[in-house]
Amino acid sequence: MWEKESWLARLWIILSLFGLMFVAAALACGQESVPVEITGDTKKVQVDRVVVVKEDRLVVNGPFSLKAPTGGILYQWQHPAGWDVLRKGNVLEVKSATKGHVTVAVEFAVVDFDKRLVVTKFGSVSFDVGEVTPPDPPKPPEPPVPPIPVGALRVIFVAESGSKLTTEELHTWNSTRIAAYLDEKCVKDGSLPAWRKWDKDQVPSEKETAAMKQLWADSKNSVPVPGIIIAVGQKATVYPLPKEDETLAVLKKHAEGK
Amino acid sequence: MFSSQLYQDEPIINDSTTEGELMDAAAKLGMSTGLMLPMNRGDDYAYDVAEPFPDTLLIPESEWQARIQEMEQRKTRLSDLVDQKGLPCKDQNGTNYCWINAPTHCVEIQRVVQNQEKVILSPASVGAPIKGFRNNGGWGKEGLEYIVQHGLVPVEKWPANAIDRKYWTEENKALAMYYRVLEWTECRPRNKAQMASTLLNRWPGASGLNWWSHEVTYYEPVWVDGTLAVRARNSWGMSYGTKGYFILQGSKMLPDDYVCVRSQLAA
Repeated sequence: MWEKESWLARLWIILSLFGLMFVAAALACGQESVPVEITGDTKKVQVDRVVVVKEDRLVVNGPFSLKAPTGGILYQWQHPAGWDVLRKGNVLEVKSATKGHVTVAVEFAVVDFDKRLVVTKFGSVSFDVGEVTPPDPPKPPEPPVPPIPVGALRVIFVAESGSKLTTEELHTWNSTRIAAYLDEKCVKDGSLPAWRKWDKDQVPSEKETAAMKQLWADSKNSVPVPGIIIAVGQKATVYPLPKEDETLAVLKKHAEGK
Repeated sequence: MFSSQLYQDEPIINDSTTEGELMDAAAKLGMSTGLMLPMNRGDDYAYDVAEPFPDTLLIPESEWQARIQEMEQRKTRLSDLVDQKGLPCKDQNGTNYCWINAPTHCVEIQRVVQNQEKVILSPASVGAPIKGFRNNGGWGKEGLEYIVQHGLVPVEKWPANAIDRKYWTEENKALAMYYRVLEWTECRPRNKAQMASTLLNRWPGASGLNWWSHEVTYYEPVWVDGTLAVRARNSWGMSYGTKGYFILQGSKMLPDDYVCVRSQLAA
C-alpha cells in the first residue's frame, strides 16, 4: 500500500513540477515604464512624457484625472493619503486632493497571450496640486464712458416765476455780466452754451439737451428756490441764489478754481 | 434828479402825440395796427381774468425810481439781455396781426432770458388758425391763451406773416408744441401798479392799447420827466424807432389788455 501510494505521490509531484515549469515558461515576466497622463484644469505646456507642465512644473487645480495606458489589468494606484478618488481601471478620477507637490504612481500588468508573457508596467507623475503662482487677476471692468466730459460747466438757475424775487435776486437772474461769463465758460451742447434759467416746475421737452435734462432730474429736488445748480463734469452743487457779484465769484470758483 | 438814458432818436409817445403823427409813422413804413378788443358797453375791455393779480407781487410805487435806476446801471433790463443776444423785433408787414406779434415776441424774449436756442417764431402760425386764416384783428390774451395750448411754429416752417392754410400741417402742429408758454399773468386793464410790478420783475408783456388800436411788447419801466414811463418795442420792423424800441408815457402807456409771459417750455 505504501509503495502504491508512494508511487502516486511521486507522480503528482512530478506532474506539478512539470506544470510549474510550463507555467513559468509560458508566463515569462518583464517590467516596463509607461507615461501617465493627467487631464483637468492644468496649466498647458507640454514637456516630457508628462502631458502638461507649466515651465518646469506641472500644476493642477480642481478635480482632475490621471490616466494610464489602456490594455492592462490589475491597475494599482498609489497617491497621497487624504485624497478622494474614484478608481476606474486605468483612470484615477481625483475629486479632491491635498495641495502641494505630489507624486502619483500606477502599476499594472499586461498579458501577451501570443508570447505567453506577463509584463508588469509602471509609471508615475509628479506635479503640484493647487495654485503655486497666483492666477492673473481678472481685468477690472471698463469704466463706463462718462456722458459728461470731466470739467464741463453746466448751470441752471431756478426760481418760482410767479413769486416776487428780491431786487438783488432780480439782478442776478437778469445779469448780462453773468450771461456773458456763462456764454464763454459753459460747455456748448451743439451751438448753445449749457446754462438755463428755469421755473421750478419746468418739464424740459425732448428738444432740450440730454445733459441738461439729466442735470435737472438729478438736482431739481435738492436746489433751493430761488437757487442755482452748478455742475462741473458729473459733480453738481446747489446754492441759494446769491447776489450778482457773489454768483460770478462762485461760478469762477467752480469753473476756474479761483 | 435821475432820468433814464434813452436811445438816440428813440421816439416818445405821450399824451401830446396826435393820432395823425402815429398814422403818418405807420404809413411811412407801410404798417398797420389790428387791435380789436372785446368790449363791454361802457367802452371798457371785457376783463375776465380767472386768476386775479396777487397783491404779493406788487412793488410799492415808492421803490420804482430807485429800482429803475439800479437796473439801468447794472444792465439787468430785458432790453440789455435781448440786445446782448441780438434778438430782432417783429415785423407784421402790413397785416392786422399786431395783437399776435406782441405775445409771440414775448415768447422769444423769454427764450432769450432762459437761454434756450434763439428761434424766431411765426405770429401767423397762431393768428391765422385763430382767425380762420383771415387777416383780422384780435387781442393779446386771445393769442397767448392759444400759445399756451398749442404753441408757435418757427418761421423756417411757417413764414412770419403767411396767413395761409397750407402751413397748418400736422407736422407744424406737432412742432409748435415745443414752443408753448408755461406760466403767464394777466393784469387788470389800465392798472399802472400791476403793470409796473410785472415790468420791474422783468416779465415781458403784450400790451393792447385801445386808443391806438394797436398791440406792442412792453420791455421795461423807465423814468422820464420825473415819473414812470415804459420802453416798448413795436412790430413794425427794425427801422421803426431805435431797433423797434420807443417810449410810452402818461395815459397812453396804460394797457387795456395786458398779459405777461413768465416762463416757457425748455426746448
